[in-house]
Amino acid sequence: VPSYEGAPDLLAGLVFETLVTTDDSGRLAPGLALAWTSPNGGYTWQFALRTGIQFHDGSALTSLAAATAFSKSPISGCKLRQGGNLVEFACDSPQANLPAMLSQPRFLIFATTAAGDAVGTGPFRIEKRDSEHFFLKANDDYWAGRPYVDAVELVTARNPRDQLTDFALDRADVIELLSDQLRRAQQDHTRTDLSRPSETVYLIVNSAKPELRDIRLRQAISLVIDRSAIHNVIFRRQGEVAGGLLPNWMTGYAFLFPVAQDISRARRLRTELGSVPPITISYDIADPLERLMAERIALNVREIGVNMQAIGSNGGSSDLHLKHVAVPSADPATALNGIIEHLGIMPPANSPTPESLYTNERAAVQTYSAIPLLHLPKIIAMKDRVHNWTSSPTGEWNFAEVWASSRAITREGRP
Amino acid sequence: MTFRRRLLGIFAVIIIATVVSIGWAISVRTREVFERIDNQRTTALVQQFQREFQRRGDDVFRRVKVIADNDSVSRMALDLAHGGDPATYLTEAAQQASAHQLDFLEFVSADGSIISSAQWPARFGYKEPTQAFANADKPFLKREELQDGTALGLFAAKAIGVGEQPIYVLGGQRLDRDFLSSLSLPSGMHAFLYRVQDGAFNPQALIGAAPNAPKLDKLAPLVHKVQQTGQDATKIVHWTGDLRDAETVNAFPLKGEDGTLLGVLLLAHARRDLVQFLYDIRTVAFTVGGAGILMAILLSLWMAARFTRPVEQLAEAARSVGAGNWDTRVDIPNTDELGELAEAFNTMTHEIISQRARLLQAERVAAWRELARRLAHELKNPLFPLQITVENLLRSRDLPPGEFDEIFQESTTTLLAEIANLKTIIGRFSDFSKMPHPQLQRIQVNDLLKRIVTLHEPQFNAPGKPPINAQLHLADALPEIDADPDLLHRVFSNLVLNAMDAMPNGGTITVRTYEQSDNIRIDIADSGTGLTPEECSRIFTPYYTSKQHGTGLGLAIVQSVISDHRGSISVESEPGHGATFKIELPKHLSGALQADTAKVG
Repeated sequence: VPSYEGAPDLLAGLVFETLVTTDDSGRLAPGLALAWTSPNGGYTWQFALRTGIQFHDGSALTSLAAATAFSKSPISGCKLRQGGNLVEFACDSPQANLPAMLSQPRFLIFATTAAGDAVGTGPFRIEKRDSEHFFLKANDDYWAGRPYVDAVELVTARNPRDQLTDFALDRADVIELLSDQLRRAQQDHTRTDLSRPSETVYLIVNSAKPELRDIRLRQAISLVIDRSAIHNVIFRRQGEVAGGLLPNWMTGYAFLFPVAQDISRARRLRTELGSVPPITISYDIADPLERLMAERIALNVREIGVNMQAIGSNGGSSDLHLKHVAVPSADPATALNGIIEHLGIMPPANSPTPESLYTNERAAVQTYSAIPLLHLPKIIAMKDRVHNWTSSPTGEWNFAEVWASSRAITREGRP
Repeated sequence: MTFRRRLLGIFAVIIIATVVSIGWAISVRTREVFERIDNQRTTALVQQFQREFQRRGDDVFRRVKVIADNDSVSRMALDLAHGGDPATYLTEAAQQASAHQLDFLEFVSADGSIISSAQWPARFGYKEPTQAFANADKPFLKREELQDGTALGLFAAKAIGVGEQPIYVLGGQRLDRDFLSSLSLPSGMHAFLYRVQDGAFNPQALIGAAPNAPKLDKLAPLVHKVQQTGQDATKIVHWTGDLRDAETVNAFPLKGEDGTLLGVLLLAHARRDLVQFLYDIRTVAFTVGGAGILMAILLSLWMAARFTRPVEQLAEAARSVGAGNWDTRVDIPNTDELGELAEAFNTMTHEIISQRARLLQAERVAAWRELARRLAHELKNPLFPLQITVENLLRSRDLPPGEFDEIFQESTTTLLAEIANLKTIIGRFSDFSKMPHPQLQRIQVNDLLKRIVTLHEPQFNAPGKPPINAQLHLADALPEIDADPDLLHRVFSNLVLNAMDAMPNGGTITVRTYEQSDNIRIDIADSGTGLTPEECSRIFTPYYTSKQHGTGLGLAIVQSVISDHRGSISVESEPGHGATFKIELPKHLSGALQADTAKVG
């Protein structure tokens, strides 16, 4: 959603909704579309919209409005038609996963007001936006029923240490935790919630760098990284080491991708390369774990005689950088394509069967242009006054079902 | 060089050398003394720095011990000893290092695995050789690998023995610019630290100096020396051309626990005060020395003048005497040797005047006597025939007229002849007394000599006489000279005739001419009987002759003419080996002679 760039994932499900959603098990569930069907084996998909739904500005959700929203994120090879309460996708090839694809945040349904703001249909509407603060207010007319809480204030771009401070000072009821903060939080008997591994940390290779165009160097770097040490020590065994793009809970075959450090093979590849100039790896200076991981990778890479320097990201270009990518969908094929597209590894591929999914994922991995390192869960800590928190497999925050005790939270942390 | 200048030079050199020697000796001695004081001060400062360095090491040791004794660290050690997860303590080292203000801190297991590292957290699990510090009971230096390079640190280690295997606490402070600047260094001293590395001296590895500070390469020889010897070294480093900017740099090797040279500590101590002080001393020395030299020169002048003035007076008096001022006196009031010398000089001139007067008188008497003798001799010869003739004439008065007339005729003829002879004699004397003044013109002497030889050629080969051979060796291109040709003709003829007279048995007359710088020289030599030394000395004296005939005026006239031409004539001869008359005549004479003429006029 262009108007709220910087926090679309967070707002997904709160302010904006998709036609299709996933339940706790990752199965597809009706969203704004009540039902969907493909009469011709995936060439055409028809989505029947719920009736009586209004955007936060009072306008009705119509098939035209939905089609307008989709026009901002067109699906390659598919044409969009609408009529009545139906939205129809006519595709050139069978798109078995189209409903799952539409569950991704990039296909949120929104309308644009005269002022140019995007409005959604979710349980909360944006009352006010102040830089990195989103003030959400309960949508009294929400089609699934009004949320229990009257308002939610979302603070984005807050570093983990400040979040902990906010939490300790009662300035926040729910915060994100880093993996290394979990143990302390548990020791402090803080309520926590872990999602399934729903976010993958990648080492992204800047292929514009001449020295990294040689796939052998990229492969050597992938082989020499001690993922286990990073997983066990830095991330306190949260999540899982990643050899593939998708976590094991989604595919069941993640163990097929090797993750063990193989220094001897990496050194052989390195020997073939000859002289390699110093390379850099950048990390988000606000994320201490990312920094530690970058430094560990640099240390590992030095073992094959390549001088790698870890640098804090300051907007400048680096040879390698770390990137967290959320699993965009609970559906494996959809998630794989979403990731592939997001990272620009290769064109999306149709993966109707587990075998083809594995083949496509393996092909993406073996480009070594985005080296998966870890699949991490989303960890949150919440106050005791927060009730009825439900975890999403992909880590979205669902405030619609949450209710809170009466003590009010102020900016100053006082009731 | 005059005596006065020589004396002045000697005095000046002696005094200047004395002043310079004293100044140099004072300067060297002062420099030595202050160098020694400076060295003592530097040593004290270095010891002060080393104590400070040791203190900081002890401080690190104490902090490491405090950390090792810390409860949370003890709990960590206990937990790990019971199989706890090391990952839990990944940030423990950073927290402890921050709390205890250590730059380096690592918790290392007994097998050397890093449990937690403050300086490089990502190094967990990597090995740190424990043998390097396991038994260290005091601070030590250690080279620490960091992400951005290598650093030197002052480390201390402490083992925590809570289980079967100890856990080591290895902490330290980085030896960097901040560390050096935090040391309490004495005023005027600053420290550098060179991290020893492979390859040539690298100014970038010099901690404590501005990275791009110029001329840091000047420290390279000192560092190199320490690296080579492993011993302390000292060097004076001149940062600029100004000696006051120089510093005394003491270099000390910094070695690790295994004796490896890890760094070189350089303590620089400014020499500005010392050099400035030496400058001041030198300035004073130069000033005093200069004043001393100036005074020495003045004193030398005065002393030289005092010593040489009487000598100069004597020299001037001698020159005056030489110029003919026989009554010259030297008035020197001194009573020393110079006074005696002046008195002797005055006595000498007095004696010379007296003796000269007597000599002149004697010579005059002798000359008159010689003149009288010569006149008597010359006049006696004609007078005797006159007397005989007159007496004969008187006796013949009684003879018959015819005989008387014949005798009378013969007598008158004889009388007239002798009277004519007397007149000739008198004319010669008259000519000598009235020598004409030279009428100068440019003449070629060679031509004149040739004419004279040609003129006398018949006499050389006169019949009945032994032949005389005439040889001419005339210089080519002999220049013309200013001379009176008639007078010179008379001179050369006289000499040729004399030569002929000297060779009654024949011989050779040799005539030579030479060109000299300002003169020409004419030699007329014969191979005759020669002259004795006495004859040589008196031969130009008027009325002196060694011949039976002649007036003795010939060579006197020759000398007179040559003298009138500003020339000189001398004779060289040995008895039996002929005689050579040597005449020197100036090439140019007109101006001088006219001046003399005017002076005479």
